[in-house]
Amino acid sequence: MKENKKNKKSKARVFANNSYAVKTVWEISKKRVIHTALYSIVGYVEWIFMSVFFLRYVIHAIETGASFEKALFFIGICFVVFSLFAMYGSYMNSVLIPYTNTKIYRELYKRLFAKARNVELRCFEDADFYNKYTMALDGAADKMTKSVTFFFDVIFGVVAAAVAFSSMFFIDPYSVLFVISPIIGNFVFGGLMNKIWGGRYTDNVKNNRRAEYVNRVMHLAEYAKEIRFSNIHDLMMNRYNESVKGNQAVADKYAKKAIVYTWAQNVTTFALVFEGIMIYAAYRTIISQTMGLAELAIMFTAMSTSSWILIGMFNDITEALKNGEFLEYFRTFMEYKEKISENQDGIIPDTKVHSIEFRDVSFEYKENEPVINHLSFKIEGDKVCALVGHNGAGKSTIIKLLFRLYDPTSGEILVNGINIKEYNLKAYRKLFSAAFQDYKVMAMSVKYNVLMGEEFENPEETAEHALQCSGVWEKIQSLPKGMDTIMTKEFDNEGALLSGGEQQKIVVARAFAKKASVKVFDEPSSALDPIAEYELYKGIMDESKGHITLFISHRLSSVKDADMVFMLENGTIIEEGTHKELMSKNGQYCEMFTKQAQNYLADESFGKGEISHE
Amino acid sequence: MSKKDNRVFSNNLNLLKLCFKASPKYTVLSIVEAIRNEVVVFLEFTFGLNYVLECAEYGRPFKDAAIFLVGLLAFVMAGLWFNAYLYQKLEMKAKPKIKQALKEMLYMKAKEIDLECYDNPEFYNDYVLAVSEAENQVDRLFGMLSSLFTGLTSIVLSGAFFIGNDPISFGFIFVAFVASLIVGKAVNSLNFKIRNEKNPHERKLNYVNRVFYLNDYAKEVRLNTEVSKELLKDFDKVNDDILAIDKKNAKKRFWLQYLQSYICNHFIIYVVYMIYLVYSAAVLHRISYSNVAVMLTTANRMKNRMRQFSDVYPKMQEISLYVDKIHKFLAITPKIVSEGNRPIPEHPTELELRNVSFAYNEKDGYILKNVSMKINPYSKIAIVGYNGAGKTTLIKLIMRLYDPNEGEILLNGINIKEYDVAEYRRKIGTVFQDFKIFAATVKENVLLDFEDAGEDKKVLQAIEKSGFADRLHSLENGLRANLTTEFEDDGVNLSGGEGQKLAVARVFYKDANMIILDEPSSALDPIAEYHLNHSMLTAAENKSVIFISHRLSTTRIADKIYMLENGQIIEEGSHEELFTMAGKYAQMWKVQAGQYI
Repeated sequence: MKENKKNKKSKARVFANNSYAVKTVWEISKKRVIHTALYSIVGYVEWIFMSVFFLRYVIHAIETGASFEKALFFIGICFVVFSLFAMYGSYMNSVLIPYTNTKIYRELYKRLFAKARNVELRCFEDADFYNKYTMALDGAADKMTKSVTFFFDVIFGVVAAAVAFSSMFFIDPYSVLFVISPIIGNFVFGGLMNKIWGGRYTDNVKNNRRAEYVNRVMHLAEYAKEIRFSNIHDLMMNRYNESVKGNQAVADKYAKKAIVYTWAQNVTTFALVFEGIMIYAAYRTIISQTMGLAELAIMFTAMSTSSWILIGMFNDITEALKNGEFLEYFRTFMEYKEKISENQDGIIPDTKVHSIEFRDVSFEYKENEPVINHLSFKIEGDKVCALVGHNGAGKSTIIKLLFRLYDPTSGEILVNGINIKEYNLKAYRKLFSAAFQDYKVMAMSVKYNVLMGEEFENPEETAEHALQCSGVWEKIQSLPKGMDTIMTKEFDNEGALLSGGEQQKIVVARAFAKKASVKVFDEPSSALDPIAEYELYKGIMDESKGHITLFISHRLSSVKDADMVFMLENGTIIEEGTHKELMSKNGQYCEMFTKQAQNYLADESFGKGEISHE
Repeated sequence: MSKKDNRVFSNNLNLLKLCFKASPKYTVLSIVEAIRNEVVVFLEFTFGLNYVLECAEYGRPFKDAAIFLVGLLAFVMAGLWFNAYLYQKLEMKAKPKIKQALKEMLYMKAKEIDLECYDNPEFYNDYVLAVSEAENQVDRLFGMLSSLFTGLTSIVLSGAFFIGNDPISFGFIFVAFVASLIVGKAVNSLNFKIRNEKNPHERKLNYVNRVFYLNDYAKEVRLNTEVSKELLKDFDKVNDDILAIDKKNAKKRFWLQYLQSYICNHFIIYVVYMIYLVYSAAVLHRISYSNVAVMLTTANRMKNRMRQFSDVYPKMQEISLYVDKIHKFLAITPKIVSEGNRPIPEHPTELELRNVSFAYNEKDGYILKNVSMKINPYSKIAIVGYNGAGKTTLIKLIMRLYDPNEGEILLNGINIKEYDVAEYRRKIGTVFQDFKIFAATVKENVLLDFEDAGEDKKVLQAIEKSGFADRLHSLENGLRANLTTEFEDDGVNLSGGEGQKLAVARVFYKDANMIILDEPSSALDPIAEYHLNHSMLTAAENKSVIFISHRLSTTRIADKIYMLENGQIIEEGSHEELFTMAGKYAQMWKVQAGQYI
């Protein structure tokens, strides 16, 4: 009972979603919607006319001995009409659909992009939300327009079926009773089969995931080395084998029911109808002699047409249901209410940042798993500050909170004494420039990758200077097209494939180029060799005048010259001060630094087997 | 028949043989089903309808018609049961088995081929395509078989019907068939052309899509508010380009479509053929008028089936193309093979590189040039140098993932090619820079083998040494905990540092003579690195060790350090020796250590 209710509700939702699709397409291209409707009508008219009226008229004409010319005239008229229909169809398929497809694609994706840019970062990191979103993107335009087609095909399918049935009704009122059989077949057994398909799908999800994973391991280059050095290949083959066995078990589980339902569905939609109506019609013609031969032939074709319309409609509904699920994701995504809207308006911040303050800030990605724990600190003036600590201490999260990619769970963040939530977000973010740990280059020119579309007085010089600071200028100069070289071979076969270290340097150059009041470097040297790393930090120090610099580093040697060091543990600051101050404190920072430095110092006892596990 | 056609047939036949071997029952019965279905359609719509109409027209007793129809109903119902059994049970079980047979073949080969193949993008793309499309080819093959036998059955049955009733009808069907074949070809080539023109543009669209939906770019897009403007401008332009392509081809497409969908189909059957039928019935009285309906539908069906039949060969060609790719892949002979079968020394022995040069691709220049080094048993060797100096390539050669272009590598004075490759590699323990955690249990991840391949105790020891023990204790199922969420939703995802520790445990577990580590501590924080270095050294006491690291603090403890630059060894010696030499190493050292002092 409860499930039934839920089912009804979800069906209503599917209908609502499909109308939403029609509405959306209508907003973008009214033409497309109108023509889709018209095309559907034309299709059904032609179908019914050809299978019911055309043959009936012609046979009737011959039967009643009408003149050959009259029949010819009729066929001629049909020729003209359907030729026009066909031209319309051709126009639809080769002109209107391709044109409007591009238009719909463009508009729809622009909306999706705008939304994607507007939702907060958390949505991207929430696997569930993200999956739904990628599903919404995948073939969205295609599925939207399909939805419009289903919508009209179902509506006019009902009309067409009614017309076909009534034409049978006029030949013989009782024959319409035969319609009950395919209706039962499609809606009852078809519905049961749909459930079985759903069950099979759910039961096989795990098996298929396994098979896909093994497939990936087997063909991706990144696994190839490991496979050659171990027996993992056999283990993975074994997993694959298990997944195939799983498939078989699922097949067996549903086999009995599926065979019965499919059989029943086919018998009621095809066999009983065709053979049944033939027996009935034969009876009427031969025994009671109440039906003409033409009627008999027509009734047979009309019946089969009606059945096919019903089957088509049933398929359309099934497809619409499937499509409805996708639309649900699309809608959920588009109607998602942003918690931090990128378009949020507010106070326009002063372009100069004088102070940054975290006041008792706590933050958790997942409930009860705090990453930042009652964190408080304040930075005043154009200082160079370093965040250090173990893996998972929460360093990168602090940066994300500062950029307002997330809002704290409790506490507040103040910039220039004002809670950052009060600011116009776009203007606020313009205060910062950043080089992220997970550097990503875009498939565009080197210059663009550095300037990132920002306006500069002297773009060439700015980019050059930034690339010099990050230590990759020489390499860029050696490229045939210099800064205009396109990165990656994605679109340009002459594009440059640079090493990981070089890519990272280009990304770091972004932070140097952008005129920002706060510059942030999140582990900017993870892919660099020692000399390059040294030079990079030197560059950061040299360029640190006139703005606040904030960097995260594992390598404590780079931290020494910072004006302020914050040592983090479990999401809170445990020590702060200059390097010197912290060293004299003899606390955690000192220990960490000593351990790293140890190897560089002449400690002869090290490495000779005197090992202890603290 | 040309050689090319021969190949198409033999490729399809080979795939069919494979299917037959994996599941003979399904393969045979799916052909039977195609024939059965077409026979039923003919019995109902042509023979049956005709029979009943004749019964009526010639006044035969109703009993005749009734017996025939009831018999037909029973036959159809029995047939539908067969259909349901075939598709709802047999196919569900057979298809995964057939696909498995095909994929296992590919997977076994993937294990065997040289790593070099993965560097060649052309080859690699072909392989990935062959693998990813392998499943679809099986489905395609059965689709093709079904079309083939449906078409054949229809042509034989309907053909017999028309020979018996009115052979002239053939002419109409044939003309419609040939005309639609010709126009169909023109339509296909136009569509192909349009697709090709659109292809580069669509790639660009996909790229823009990716930037907006991949998590990787999300932060950049938010922080650099201007960057999306350019992307959207591109997006607009590409859409305009696509529209222009459609506009350019619209006229031709329109007329071809009209010809294909109307003139070649509808017009010939419902206008020309219909006039002929009416004329034959009403004027010539050659055919009975009840026959008109039967002949019209039969002719229409036969034409459609012939069209379907004519698609069989192009489908075979398409399948053949992929089968060719699979063949090509299976035909690769690995170059890195065991040239001898010498026993691997039980204990660490000397490893020597003699004038080794190597290029991934001669065109791109040599990565290693004339490198010679001698690694004494039980010694600890460090390889240092700038990014791109050839460090990783060097150890790949030692692991025999590649063979040098010039020079040789000797183990215990014997060229490593003389040993069994698998055995040789078994004696090397390694952590790759891009190590992988597999979707398996913790224990399996350490063993990289089945659970029963090793004892828990030894695995735990290895885990203890690599520093993963703390994390292990926090796992509910301990060694049996499933890693990654690939299979199990409650599987454990390890962080980069944790994963690395686990990967290092693999080396500790393995009973190797030599350990090779490529930047093992890059993802670790300083304290974790410190612990790892310590335990690494204890564990490796009775093994030779080669390691690559950017952190010179790690490498200084080595017995011997090789400094690489541009594929050549420029300095070698112990830390002290190199330091007093005051060369590039010393310079690098000072840069790093200077800040700590």
